[in-house]
Amino acid sequence: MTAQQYKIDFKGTSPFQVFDASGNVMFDARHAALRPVQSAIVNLPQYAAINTDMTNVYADIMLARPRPGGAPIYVGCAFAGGMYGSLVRKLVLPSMSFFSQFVYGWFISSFSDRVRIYNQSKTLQQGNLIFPGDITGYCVIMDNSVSG
Amino acid sequence: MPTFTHHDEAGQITQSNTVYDAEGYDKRLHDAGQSRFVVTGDNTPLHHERWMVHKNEPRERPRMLVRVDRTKIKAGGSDAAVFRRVPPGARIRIYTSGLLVFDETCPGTEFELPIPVPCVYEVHVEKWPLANYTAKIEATV
Repeated sequence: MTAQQYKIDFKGTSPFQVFDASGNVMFDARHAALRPVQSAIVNLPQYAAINTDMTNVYADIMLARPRPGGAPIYVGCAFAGGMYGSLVRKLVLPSMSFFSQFVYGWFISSFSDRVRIYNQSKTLQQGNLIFPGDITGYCVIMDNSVSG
Repeated sequence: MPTFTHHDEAGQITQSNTVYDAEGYDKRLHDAGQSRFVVTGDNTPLHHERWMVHKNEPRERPRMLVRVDRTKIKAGGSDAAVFRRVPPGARIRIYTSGLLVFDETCPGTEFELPIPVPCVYEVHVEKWPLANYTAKIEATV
């Protein structure tokens, strides 16, 4: 995969869609009866050093509305830079949930008031080769309260 | 729909977030300790590769004027691509097949790039606040 193979449609209030390089829709919020509530572009920092802990490599997207009590939320993410990948996952809040695809070097977790996305793009270090650090996260946060 | 764009001391955007129901969102950010952000009426997030924040306003990052004389060279030997108009002190990062193979600061305004084996090098030139420059150089047999 390359950085150009995924994009997210951020235009206005149009339904959230993720496309692959051929223009095929990988995910469509309309089909899942979801409503986009936030869309964000996140400049994720790279690892400060090899084998460092995770404390300095995440970014928080604060939710517009806290969602205590287990209300589900859906997060669509595509990442560019470093190792590449794309993901759409249902997160149930407020319990922390991890969804990892380490082959792509990142994962996301959720809390009651925020979505946290991590950059793990150097964890695949092999010998002296270091995978690139900085990555861009394209995220759309959705819920299932389809109204307006 | 307002867009909340977070930035660091230098004005580099760390996150841009369009919120569809934004009532009280600025207060929530302040309560969470996130106070360095600007609010605009854009209905799409601002990309950090193109935008910065200057004096509490989004501003397009100035273009970098780097030029490379060619993007295909012969692998090995003395052939090389030459980059000119590089901002002094720019960070040069070179990747091949997703791997970082070079990461140095360029002291002058030019640098040469020979490639020892057939492959594609992706060259990134970075100098804040200029927009990053990227070029792919292919080395053939």
